[in-house]
Amino acid sequence: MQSEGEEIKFEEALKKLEEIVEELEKGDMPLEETIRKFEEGIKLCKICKEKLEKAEMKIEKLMEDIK
Amino acid sequence: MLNKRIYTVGEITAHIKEIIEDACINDIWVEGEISNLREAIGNLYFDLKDERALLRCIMFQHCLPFSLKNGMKVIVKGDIRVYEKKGYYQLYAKEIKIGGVGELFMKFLELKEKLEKEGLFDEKLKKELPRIPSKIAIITSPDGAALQDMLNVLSRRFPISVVLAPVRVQGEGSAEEIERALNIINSRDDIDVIIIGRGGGSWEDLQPFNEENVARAIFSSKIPVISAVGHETDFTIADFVADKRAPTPSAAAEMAVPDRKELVEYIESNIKRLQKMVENKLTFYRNIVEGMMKRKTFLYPFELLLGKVERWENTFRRLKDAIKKYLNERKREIEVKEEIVKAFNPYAILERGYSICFRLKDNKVFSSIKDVEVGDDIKVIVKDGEAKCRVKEKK
Repeated sequence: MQSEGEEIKFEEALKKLEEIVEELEKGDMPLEETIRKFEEGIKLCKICKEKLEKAEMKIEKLMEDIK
Repeated sequence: MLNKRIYTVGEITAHIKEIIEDACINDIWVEGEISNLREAIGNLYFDLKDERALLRCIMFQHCLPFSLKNGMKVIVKGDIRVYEKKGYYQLYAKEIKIGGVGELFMKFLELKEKLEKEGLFDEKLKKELPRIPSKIAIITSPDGAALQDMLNVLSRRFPISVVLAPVRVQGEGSAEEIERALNIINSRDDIDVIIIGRGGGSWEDLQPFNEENVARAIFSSKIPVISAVGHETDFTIADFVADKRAPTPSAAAEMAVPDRKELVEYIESNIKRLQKMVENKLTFYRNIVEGMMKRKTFLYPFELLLGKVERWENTFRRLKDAIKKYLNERKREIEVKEEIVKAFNPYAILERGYSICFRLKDNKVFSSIKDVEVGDDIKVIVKDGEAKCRVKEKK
């Protein structure tokens, strides 16, 4: 896991998310682990989404600045 | 030998002229007393004589800083040439020094030759004047017009701090004062240029500037020295040793500092050049940046995120699908197992319209009439409930 304060990078989060999805897609895990993995997946999903939104906002702001 | 024939006056004079001028009696110094002095259209005519002989002299377009008089002892420098029209040879004078100075002048020439041999006049050893001095020292008489001239020029061209080293510039002991002043100023570290000089005067008056100790003090000065002694026509040893020779004290002041107006113009033109250069550079880079801004990345910046968004959306959908599928499969498994369990469940028959009867006293299922008596309480279970009953009769 990422240490405190050190933010996980988008690519890392997405890669982890993809690994989780692949594991889940096999569908051979016990329920509790499945739920745990799913929960982690949702968290990573949120992180990725936030990062994308932040990037979009930043781009928008930067474009605004040079107009 | 000449041929024994009759020559014309012109021929023989030309011959004599050739002989005399071939002898190259040029740049010689002659000492004598002036007589028969006259001046016409800027030319000086006079005779030089001593106890033994007379020499005709002419000086063209003279600009002597002093006036000659009959009876004056002088030394004259010039070339011996023949004047054919009048049939005499004469000295074509280039320089005249007032006499009684013959000995002094020889001393001057000897010292000049000696110091030149020692390398004191070496052009390679002459120091450059600073372009803009911060402080200059003037070694001269505090009462002379030369000082006023210099200060005037300085204040007009470039106001600057001036250190005055007041000295006597003629007479006994003045050379020592000048030497001392040079040494004292050299012990300071705030002086950039030294001007030594004085206004015009007789040859004797200028003698301190022909002294060896002054020459050596100038030579050993670490600070550049400008020498400005007398008039344009006066040359002293100090002039030869100094890093720069100025024809007059005013000219020395002009040499020492730049003209403020010219300097300001020069600086302004440089500022303009600098501005232009910076503007050019800025335009150059602005064009580059503007070109970059027109690239796809900046025109459609969100395309940068497109792949990432897609990949994320895709993964997110897969995550949702996977968990849905997983949960559905688990549910399905449970349903199947339930079916199986149900199949073995006695209550399953209730669904098909049958009922089950219990004896209430021991809550046991009974399937034979023998198991109950009239009056027993029983429970009848059907698919959607139960009924409590009492046996009325048996058959």
